[in-house]
Amino acid sequence: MNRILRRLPILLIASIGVAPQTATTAAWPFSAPDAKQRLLAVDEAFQPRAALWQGGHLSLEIGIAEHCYLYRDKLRVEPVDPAGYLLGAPSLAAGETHEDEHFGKVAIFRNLVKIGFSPHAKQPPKQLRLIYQGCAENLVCYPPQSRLIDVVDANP
Amino acid sequence: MKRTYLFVVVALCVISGVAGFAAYRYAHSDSDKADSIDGASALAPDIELPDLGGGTRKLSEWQGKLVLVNFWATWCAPCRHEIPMLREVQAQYGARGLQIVGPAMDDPQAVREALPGLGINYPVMAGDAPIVAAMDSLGDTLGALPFSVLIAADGRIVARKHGEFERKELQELIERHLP
Repeated sequence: MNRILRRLPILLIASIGVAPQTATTAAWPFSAPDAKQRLLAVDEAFQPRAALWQGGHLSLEIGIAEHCYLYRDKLRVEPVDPAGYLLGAPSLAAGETHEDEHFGKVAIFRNLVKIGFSPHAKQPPKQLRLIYQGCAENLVCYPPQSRLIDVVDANP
Repeated sequence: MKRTYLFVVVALCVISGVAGFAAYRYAHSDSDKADSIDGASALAPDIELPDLGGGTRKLSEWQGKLVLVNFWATWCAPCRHEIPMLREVQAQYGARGLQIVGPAMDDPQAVREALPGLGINYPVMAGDAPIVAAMDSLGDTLGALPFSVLIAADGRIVARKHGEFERKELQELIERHLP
């Protein structure tokens, strides 16, 4: 027992040396100030959902991953089928003001953005083009994205 | 007495282990931010990049140099933030064989207008589909900017990175791979 006790201080010193090696492979259970922010492919960062037509109102949503944001002024919805469909003015929240080092104050969305339209037409369009652009905070920016979105009629 | 001694030593072992673990993770949290691949040995394809004068530049033009291809755009804040450091690195290592090349995934006119303010001291190109194709062929997996690829003098890709370089990280990479 005495022999073991005499060797314990050596164990103490060894544990200090082993810790960084363990840290390279083990998962860190707490959030450090600059905790690792995983780089996401654009379709993981921004996830457009189906457009829904309900009671003469058209709504679209884009899910936004944590640490990512979309620029408000880069959001656009265009009719594809039929091409001449008049969507009218979009209803869109003001967003959050983001101070950009190079571009000044810009409005952005985090977590989720909802875009609404109340077209004059009684029938919904079949397909829309959604255009959006954003960044992963302090890491990377994604080029403008364009996705075709089918409109789902909730009251066929 | 012996039990107390045992308890104290074991407790100190646990505390020092956790402290070492935490200190290491904290100190390395920045370098974990982006995926830097070193030791990649694939040969870089001889990509063509549209320049700002309507012509094209080929990567083979800089064969024999250590080439850092830095894909950027005028609309990309982290890209613009990285440029002053890249400018300084080009000035520091240019005479020793480093050549930075800056293809922009952007409208050529927007790039022409931004260039005077950016003071870039290395060749810049711009375009849409050809730049996307060049990023793909150099191993981009995210479609995000900035994206940098370091190509050794023998044409091997030795590092790729999404996101900004830390100055020290880039200098160490360059020092290691200069011709």
